[in-house]
Amino acid sequence: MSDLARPLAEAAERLFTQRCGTDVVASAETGTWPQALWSAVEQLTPAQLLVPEDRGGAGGDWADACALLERAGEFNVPLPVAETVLAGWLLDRAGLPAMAGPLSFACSTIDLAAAHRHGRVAIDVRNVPWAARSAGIALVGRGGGGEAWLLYLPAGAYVAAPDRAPAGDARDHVSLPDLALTGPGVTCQRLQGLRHADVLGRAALLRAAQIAGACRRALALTLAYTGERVQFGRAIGQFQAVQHQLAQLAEETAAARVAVQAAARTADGPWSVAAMAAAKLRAGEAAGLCARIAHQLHGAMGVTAEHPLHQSTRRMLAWRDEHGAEAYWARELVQALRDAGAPGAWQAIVAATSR
Amino acid sequence: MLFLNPDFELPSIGATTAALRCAVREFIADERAGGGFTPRCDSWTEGLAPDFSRRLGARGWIGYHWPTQYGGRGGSAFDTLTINEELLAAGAPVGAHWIAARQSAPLLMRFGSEAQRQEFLPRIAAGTTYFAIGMSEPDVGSDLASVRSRAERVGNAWVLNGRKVWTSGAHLCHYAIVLCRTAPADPKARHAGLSQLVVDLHAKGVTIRPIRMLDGSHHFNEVVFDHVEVPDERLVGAPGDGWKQVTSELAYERSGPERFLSTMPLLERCLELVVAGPPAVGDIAAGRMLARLMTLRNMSLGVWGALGQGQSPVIEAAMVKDLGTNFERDSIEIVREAMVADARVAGDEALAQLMADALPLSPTYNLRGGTNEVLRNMIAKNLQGK
Repeated sequence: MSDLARPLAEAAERLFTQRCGTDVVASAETGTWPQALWSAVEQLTPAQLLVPEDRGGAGGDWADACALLERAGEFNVPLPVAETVLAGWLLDRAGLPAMAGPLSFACSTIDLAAAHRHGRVAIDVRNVPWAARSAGIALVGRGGGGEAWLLYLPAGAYVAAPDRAPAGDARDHVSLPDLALTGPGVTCQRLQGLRHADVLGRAALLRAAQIAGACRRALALTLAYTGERVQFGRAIGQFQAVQHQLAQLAEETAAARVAVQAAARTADGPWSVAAMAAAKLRAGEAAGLCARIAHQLHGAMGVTAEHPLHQSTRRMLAWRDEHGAEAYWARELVQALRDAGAPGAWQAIVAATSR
Repeated sequence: MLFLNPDFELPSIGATTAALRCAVREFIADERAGGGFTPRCDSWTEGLAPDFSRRLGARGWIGYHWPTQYGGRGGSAFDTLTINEELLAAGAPVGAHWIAARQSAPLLMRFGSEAQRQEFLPRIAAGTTYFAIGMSEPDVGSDLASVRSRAERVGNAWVLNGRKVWTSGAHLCHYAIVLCRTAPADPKARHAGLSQLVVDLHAKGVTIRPIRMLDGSHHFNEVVFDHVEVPDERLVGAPGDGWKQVTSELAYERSGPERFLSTMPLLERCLELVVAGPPAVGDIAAGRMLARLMTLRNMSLGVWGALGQGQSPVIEAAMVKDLGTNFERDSIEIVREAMVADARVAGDEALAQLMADALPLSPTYNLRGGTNEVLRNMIAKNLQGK
């Protein structure tokens, strides 16, 4: 881990505490772009976070990125923070100059190697986060051998139809039936040294970090509510049946955090995709249980629009399905063992958790 | 709470323990090839093999991180963790020395007298002297502070009367560390007046009777103490300090990798078949187990790292134990299903044998070392700041 994680996380927490209250989140969900919040987030330089210092970046690593995204997840920050971090990383990996954010990101299976050969491409990608409000999209596709390709589209090169994910955040539809790759600012190139699975894994890791943050928030809200709500003459948190669920909620939150941190600290190599697969999968499992418990313990109050719990639970449940749901990564994890020719499951587990 | 603390950092042990891990794996392979043991689930309770324990002791692999004057090799706590997790994952019969090494020795290291350390620790490290736990009684389980066994001071000795149950391995152990009352119970201070004694299980007045497990196997015992004379120098710590000490002992008891690796030999075989076969829908169940295992190992490393730094991660250990033993329980059911639904796994005789051995005693996973309910009580009270 670089020395960045703690100050970055603290700065993010301060900033989100001041500027990302539940009212800001609710307003963003009706389609208002939270410009003041974005201006503040820009001070954290998300687009430069993963760019090495000698190229003008912050020199952060994935543990730093996860520290930032966990905070963003905790506060339900309705902005493309993860996407800007990922796009900044990919632009740098492609040797392209840094772009000012906000930036969007999508990981598709479009054959960009073929598009590069033809000089044209057909794009029809849904659920592109905040594409309509972004300064550009880093659209990842694949080549014939599983290598990663990047298509960068500046804002002028595309039109995105605004849409919204069930979670309430912008997930827009980018449809370009016949795009010439020669347009101004459009770049299509292979990402040297990166496989498509590496990029998808990193995107999944940041979503997992957001899930871990959302679980933290759900735990805090549930602890507070069960300490205040009185029934049968005492706070419901005094009942053992409730306490046991609180313990499980904390355990799942802990498991999600640990899985994310472990993957964030796993260096690129034969086991990095396995570690990221485990992180997204385990965080997804945690999200399912955390949302269930948090709602159960909040009773009817938790399912009202008025109570902020749903801001966290809708997101953690929706994030499970982005960049690969649990079943997808479960299969990838087993495939990683197969590909590694691992001598045994235990030896693979040790290798993939040794960092 | 470590795991929820924003500053929590996972330890990394890969580089420093690699050579030792290789050596342990080689030893295990040699032992298996030479018929030294057959892998089985739950080998830390069911695998009682003094010969095997002595062979480990001869290599210095029991208490590897203890100081050399007490029979250790002065390694790191992570070295010992490495040895233990490799042995558990392989289903090696470590049951004879397990409790002595896991909790009796650390307890004596921390609270015992210098004479006690010198007397017992080198013999535990050699794999020749085994200890039993003396906590539960017929009417005392989760509510440990209500123990009724009593010791009275008579001259330079304590005279112990009482009855302990669920005493794993007592029939081949040399000593038990017995939690007993040395002062009358005070309803206003339930945790006061308790002490711990190192009791020679071959002493006059000790009777050990087997309590058969539901599958007919024998590791539980009832141990009766009838006017057993225990020399004063066998008192651990000071009279009345028993509660503080036993709480610390329970932290050692709950923090190890045996709380999620009890079914690893079963999983190892199942996953071997899955990975050797072509991709199939059964990969989903297998991948989910792998992710849970990886996360449990990482959490366990976090607990062990904190223990090694002299912290007392009691709540974190309780979390890992609750998650880990639930995983063990679930893993049995997941493998059962694969044995029917996954063509790559169905019909494997080795797997069927591992399952047949593991299934009957699987209800113990969520009971031993503190029930999951007691653990959740502890975790919740900590969360609520009580």
